[in-house]
Amino acid sequence: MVNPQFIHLKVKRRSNPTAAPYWEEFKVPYQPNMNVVSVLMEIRKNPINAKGEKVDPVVWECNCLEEVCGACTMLINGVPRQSCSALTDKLLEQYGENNVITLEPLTKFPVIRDLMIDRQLMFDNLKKVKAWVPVDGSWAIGRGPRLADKVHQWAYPISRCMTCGCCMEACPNVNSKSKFIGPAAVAQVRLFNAHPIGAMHKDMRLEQLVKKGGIQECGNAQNCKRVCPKNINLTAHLAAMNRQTNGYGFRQFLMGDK
Amino acid sequence: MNREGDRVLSNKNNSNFMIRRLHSLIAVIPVGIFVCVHMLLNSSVFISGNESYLALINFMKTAPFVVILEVVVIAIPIIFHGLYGIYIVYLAKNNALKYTYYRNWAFYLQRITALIVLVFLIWHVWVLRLSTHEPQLVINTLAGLLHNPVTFALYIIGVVASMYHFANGLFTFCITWGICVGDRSQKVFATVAGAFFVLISLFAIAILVKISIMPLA
Amino acid sequence: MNKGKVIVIGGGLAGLMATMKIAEKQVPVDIISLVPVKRSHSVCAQGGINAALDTKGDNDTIYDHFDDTVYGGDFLANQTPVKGMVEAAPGLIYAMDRMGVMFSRTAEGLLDLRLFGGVKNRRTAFAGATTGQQLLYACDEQVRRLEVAGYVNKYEGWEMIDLIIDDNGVCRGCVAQNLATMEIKSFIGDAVIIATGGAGMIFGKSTNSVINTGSAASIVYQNGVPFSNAEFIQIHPTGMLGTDKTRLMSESARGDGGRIWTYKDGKPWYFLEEKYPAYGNLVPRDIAARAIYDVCVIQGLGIDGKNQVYLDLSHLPADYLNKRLGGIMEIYENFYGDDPRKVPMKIFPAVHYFMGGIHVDWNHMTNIPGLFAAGECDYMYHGANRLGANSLLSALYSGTVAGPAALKYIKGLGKLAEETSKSLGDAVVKKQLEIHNKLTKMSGKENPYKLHEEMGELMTKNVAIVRYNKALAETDVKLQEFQERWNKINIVDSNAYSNQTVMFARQLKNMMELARVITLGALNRNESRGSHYKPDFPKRDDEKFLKTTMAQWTPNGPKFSWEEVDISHIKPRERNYSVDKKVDKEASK
Repeated sequence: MVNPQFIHLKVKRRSNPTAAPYWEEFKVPYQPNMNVVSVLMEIRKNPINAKGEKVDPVVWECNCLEEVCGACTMLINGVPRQSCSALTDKLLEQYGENNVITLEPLTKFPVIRDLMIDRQLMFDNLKKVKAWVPVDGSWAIGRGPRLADKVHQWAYPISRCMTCGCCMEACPNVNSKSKFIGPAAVAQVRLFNAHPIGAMHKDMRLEQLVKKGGIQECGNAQNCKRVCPKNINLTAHLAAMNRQTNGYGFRQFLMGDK
Repeated sequence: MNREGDRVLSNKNNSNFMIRRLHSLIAVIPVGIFVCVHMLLNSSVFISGNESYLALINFMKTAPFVVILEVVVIAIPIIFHGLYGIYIVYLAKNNALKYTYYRNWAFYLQRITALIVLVFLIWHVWVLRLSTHEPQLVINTLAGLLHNPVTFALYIIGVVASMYHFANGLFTFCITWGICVGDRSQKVFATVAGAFFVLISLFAIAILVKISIMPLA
Repeated sequence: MNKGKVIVIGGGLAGLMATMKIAEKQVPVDIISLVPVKRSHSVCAQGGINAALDTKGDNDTIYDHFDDTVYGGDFLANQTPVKGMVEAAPGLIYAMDRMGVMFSRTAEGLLDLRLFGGVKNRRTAFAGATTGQQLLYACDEQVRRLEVAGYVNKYEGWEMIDLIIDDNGVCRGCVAQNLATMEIKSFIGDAVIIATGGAGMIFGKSTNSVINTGSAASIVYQNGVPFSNAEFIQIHPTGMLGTDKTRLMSESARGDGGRIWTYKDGKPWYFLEEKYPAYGNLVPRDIAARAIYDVCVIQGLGIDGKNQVYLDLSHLPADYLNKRLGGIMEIYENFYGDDPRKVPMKIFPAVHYFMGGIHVDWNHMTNIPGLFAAGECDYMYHGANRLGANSLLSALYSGTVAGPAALKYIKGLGKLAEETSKSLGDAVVKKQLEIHNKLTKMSGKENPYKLHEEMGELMTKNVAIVRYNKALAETDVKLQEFQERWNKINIVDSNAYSNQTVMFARQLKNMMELARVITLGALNRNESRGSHYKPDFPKRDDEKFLKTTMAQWTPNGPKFSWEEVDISHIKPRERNYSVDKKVDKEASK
């Protein structure tokens, strides 16, 4: 059991998108069963840094606090994860009681302020790959298509992707030099291509996956699967989409747009 | 309702995908196959050293259009793979020290070996193919290089890097072409590729050692 | 031709469904949302969504769903809208299925159904234990598609801070503030739909997300729309207390076989099964919550002497649990460290849902023409207690009502807002800018977050499961003190960019207004009905209180009036879950 006096934090801060980043340390009185979010909440109730100076409270995003909304993702001791499920007792157990827990904003997205980032890029990627089922409309026209339980078993986990950005953060091929849309969006294509109605429009999505920044940018470093908080088998989904896009590319090459 | 967003647009924008797939494909066919044949021919040094090797080379040279074959089947694919590969190496922002997972290191090593192999190949082809083409001279030059401990070491590094790049490339090839999809197949094939790397490296090193202990002509 | 424009505030299930209904008729929509809509609080709903699909051989009917909902709500819900909802439910779920929701399946590929509280038939469609997430994502995807098609503009990271109401009392849009740049901007539209969810944050810790402050609903209330049935707050029996919030353990855990127990005389005591033999662990939430409260607080029989009892799934096979309840297994493991497949979970009731809300007519329009409300922030479908898995249904359904109703309203407008309201909007922006500037300069000694914590503790203590008039009266006095103290808050953040403290201070002020409505509403209602329980008045009193509470804002606090409840379909009868519910078959014809 850990029982230190303080939880010692080191936060990479930035007062606005163009300001220079700096590090600031905080010491928050220890309580059992805290998580990183509740430590940050303590700071805003009493915004004083480790040197005892009054400072602006740390700004970060959070919402559900149950690891289903994806908002509170940040680098905690260098690892991309949700700060709500980062339990301080476990961190101190893992890194040692005297560990200074470092918090940084994700590096693959523009920083708004402190730990708050702008992940619009990921939603734009969902637009790019047309991650939806093109139903005729939202009206009631009777029962939907049947779906084998077996398909549900592997497809449902993909639909739990909360667009948190961990996979993007860890992927060496997602960076300012490349246009790679990242593992999350590719996996979504597999989800919609598996749905009986979605499958009727497979090519519409595959076409997007073979454009610049598409699936060909995957270099099989496979970090995505390791860091996914929802344990989505991203590497298998990427491989399956490789197969689908190859088939699509081959068909296109041989038969044109038919 | 306007379904503009759903329409399948014309497919003019997939050149990058096609190039990347070509880059992957030619590394195995024909380059990978060539490497295997090359090693197999080289292993003739185990039969009766210099003579059997020379006999084989001279026989190969009697094949028609050998230069054209060399250019089309070997040189152009390798040059394309190498040049485009540099661009791919440039695109990655490696983070193996941050994410120390096995596959991430493999990814990083694939890029490091890519650069080593590139330098090695330029040296290898220049010295043993372009500057001399007389079989006896070639083997003399090689034997000379391998008798010098420094160049011998460099040669070993070049060859082992090539074999790593080849074996790991075969593994990612299987993913890129959608052959290994599930966890199990990926795991099994990763082991197979690892074993392949060890065996083919040992095989290559054995050839080099054999040549290095052959008497200089 | 200009078809007008609708502004939807809030991008949860109700807001997105309303957006879909409007945008697919090619009328443009602006969505204003605090968070990217995909992160809305709807993702937290776990167990499922009700519809009488009757595919499990239980002879379920739409009438059963109707009666269960009205009976479960202790007859306080207006019955005609509820009837509309349960009738639309099967069609709605099939539509969601077509949109790609990964509902759990039977062996033959149909939607699987599970059992939920207050119900005898399997009626709840579900997607593992993340049904809300899956439904929201499907709506999010469809809205994204409409966005690409050019009918939807999203303003994510904006907070609605005021309404634009013209001289004729007609709503012409709203004013919102950007959470990053702090820009204040007017959004002119012909109809505004408020779909901003519940207000669990008023209680400090609840199962709600941190954005569920009720601030937008409070703004609507302060603009003259009555706030109804605020005193009916659902306490979910199975929550898991944390330092930052109370996490939900879905009712589906019990629907799929979970049992509640504690030790009595050294032996496991399944008190719900003993006390309510007809429904057992699946009594409605208010009843289960009170029973757990009674066992822990009154009888002192909580596990380890603390306020907690066991929710036990450990007798069920692990692969069955993973398949059906994986989402909540994960939450408990990640946040508590124990494996619920092996050891029972420790739970205690927690504030969960607002049955009450913005007063609307049956088309979801408020008393301000052009201003609509849908989803948890309205008061329509759940009466005094909501049945499990009816919230996702009411959120979606109210969106399908409010959206088309807004379209119909716009068609009847003489002049579109765009032509008339620009200067009106500018005036509201100017007013809000002044308020904002004043706010940023507040430098008293009260920390807004600490003040909020204090208020939450007070509300949870006095206005939650069990209510006494003396404590309620004291609470209202305290709340007024808090309002005074609010004037002395300190905006602890000096940064003009992305200042969360300023936004929170504004929300806090609005929360305090609603807190008083809740407290006084509870004080006024001298009976026990659904989630509202007063030991001093343990019986339901239809004669005096079969009425909708309506609170009207005044500068001196809420003014209350009462409205008759529509009971035109089912005659009120005693609600008793110890015995099987008797459906009046005559009335059902």
